[in-house]
Amino acid sequence: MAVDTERTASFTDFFDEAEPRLRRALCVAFGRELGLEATAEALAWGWEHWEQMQQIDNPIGYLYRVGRSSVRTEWRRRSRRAPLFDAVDGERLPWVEPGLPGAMAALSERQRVTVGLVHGYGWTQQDVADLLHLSPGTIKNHLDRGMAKLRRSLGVKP
Amino acid sequence: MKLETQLRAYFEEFDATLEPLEVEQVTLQQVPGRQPPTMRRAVPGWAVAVAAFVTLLIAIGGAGLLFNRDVDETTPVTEPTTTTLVTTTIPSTTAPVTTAPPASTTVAPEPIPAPSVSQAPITWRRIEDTDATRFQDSPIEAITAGGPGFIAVGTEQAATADGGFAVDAVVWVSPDGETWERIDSPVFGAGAAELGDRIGQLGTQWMSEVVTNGDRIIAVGYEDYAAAVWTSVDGYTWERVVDDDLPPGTTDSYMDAVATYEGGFIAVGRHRGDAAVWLSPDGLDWTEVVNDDLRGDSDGQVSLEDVAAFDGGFVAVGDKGWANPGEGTETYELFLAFSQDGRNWERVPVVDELSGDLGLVLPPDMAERTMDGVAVVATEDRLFVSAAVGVGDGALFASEDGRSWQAVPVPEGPVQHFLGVWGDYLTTSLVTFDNGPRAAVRLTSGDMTEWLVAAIDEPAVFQTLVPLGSRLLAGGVYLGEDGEDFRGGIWIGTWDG
Repeated sequence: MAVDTERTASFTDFFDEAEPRLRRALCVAFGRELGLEATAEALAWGWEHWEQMQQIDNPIGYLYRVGRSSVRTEWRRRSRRAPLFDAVDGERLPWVEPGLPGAMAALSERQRVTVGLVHGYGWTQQDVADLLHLSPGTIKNHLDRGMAKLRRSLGVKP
Repeated sequence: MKLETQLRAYFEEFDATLEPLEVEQVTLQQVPGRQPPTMRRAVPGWAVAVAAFVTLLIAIGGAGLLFNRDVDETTPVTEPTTTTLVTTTIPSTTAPVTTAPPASTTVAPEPIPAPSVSQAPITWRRIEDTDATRFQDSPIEAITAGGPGFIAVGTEQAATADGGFAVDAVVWVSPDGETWERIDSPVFGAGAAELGDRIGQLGTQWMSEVVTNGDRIIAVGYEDYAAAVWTSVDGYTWERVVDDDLPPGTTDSYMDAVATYEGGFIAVGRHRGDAAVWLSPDGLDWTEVVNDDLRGDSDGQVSLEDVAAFDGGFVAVGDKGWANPGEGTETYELFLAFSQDGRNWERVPVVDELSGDLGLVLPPDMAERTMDGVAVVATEDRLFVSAAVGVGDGALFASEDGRSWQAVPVPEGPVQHFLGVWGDYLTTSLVTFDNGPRAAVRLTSGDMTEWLVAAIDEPAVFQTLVPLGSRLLAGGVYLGEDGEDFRGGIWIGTWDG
């Protein structure tokens, strides 16, 4: 019983840190519905394998990939058919380009995640690099190219 | 307004719609986020298999295998679940061993010894992908003997300019199982635009199974969210069947499987929330069967994934799912229907309340988990149904008449996806973990207490298995060299003498 309590407590500490990051990253990557599903699947896997997870250097980054792979097939099947992000609420956000959700959805996954987390959520590029297991230089490339593509799509000047 | 500012404002709104998970939902295994059944879409066989495979890889710590592209990744230390292999004498014949007819399906109520598993002396070889085959990103869904020799169908996945993926029907033909040619047709993909607004639209097709009655080849699936049938007499020239009961356009229906019988063709799938059956005497004129026992209940929906014809009629299998109000979860159970004539169906209850027999009750730990794949196959004297559930679990059931079913003990280990018959062997495809996660075939015959397993040497999932004389022909998907994308593949399994 004591072991179970200790296990739950240590996982809960990890969960409190990991859940918001995974939820936001995976929802930027795959949209709200699949993103939440991926988050749940990833954390459930993490709980099931908690002993092994505690030996991993970057467990959040690892669970991101677990979540990503868990919905990957469904993502590929769905992505053409349903909007990834909600339409802009023109009354609440009149200054936001209506085409922004569609333009974000048209980015590559890594571009979208990088742009969304850095500029949408205020993550550092190093944060995203850790999450995606990529070098900071690669993240900067994704960010620059993603933003350039967004600007072209929306007709927004730098 | 600067783009960066717009992004921050938009994602603040977006974030407010993302309901946080509670840790108890995870530790108590009440994983939310999955769609309730009322929102559930058809999941074609390969997607089910790949999803299950990916999940299996994850379960054994193989996610790194899928996405291990960066040199600084840390590999988890998860130990894989292994199937215990028992050393046995390898058959010396070059063909499947002929055995006595299987024993009676009656399963004694006393505990039955766990089946043994030994290595099958089968060597697998994947057909090289060339300019002629162009398997590429197209999972092989089904293979059947027909046309010039063999017909394979699948679904091409192509990246679109807007960053999404399109899915379109694909067909290959082969004279011998060794040499394959991909067939281009105006009814597949964008080339069919001239045929009408609702046919041949890029990115809307899914082809899941193919059969032939000798005169006509029939492939089924869906197009633009409507059940669809394609037909050919030679495998090279294809037409899309349009019929009153198969109208093009969004009808929220799909066909998942098709079989032949002496009266023609029978296809199964789903139409809105109900299980659906279509009959055709010739593959051209189709009639959708309306039957109360095929309807989903008010609290859930039913879909059929496979059908088999046998001397006594037909058996169709699928699942029924319903949401659990207030829990954010859903439950699925095996759905099995029997018909003598294809028109009048009766549901075989999952629980036989009168006799209390085991029937189709899934093991308790499977009862509230998603059915990841259901299949039925008819042998000369029995019917078998396999149900793959969640991560690494599966159940197998046998029946002589399609109405009374008994569980068949299966070896511990991986999930069973699809069933087939190879000589006297019942074959199941699965993923094994001996020496890493790999696609495999498991075979059994006779009293089904001894099983053989033959795995390939790469991460993959078999979607279909058909005899190729004394060899096996398998189709499916494998993990490409980039370690990220699944690619279509066909393998030949040779029984080593």
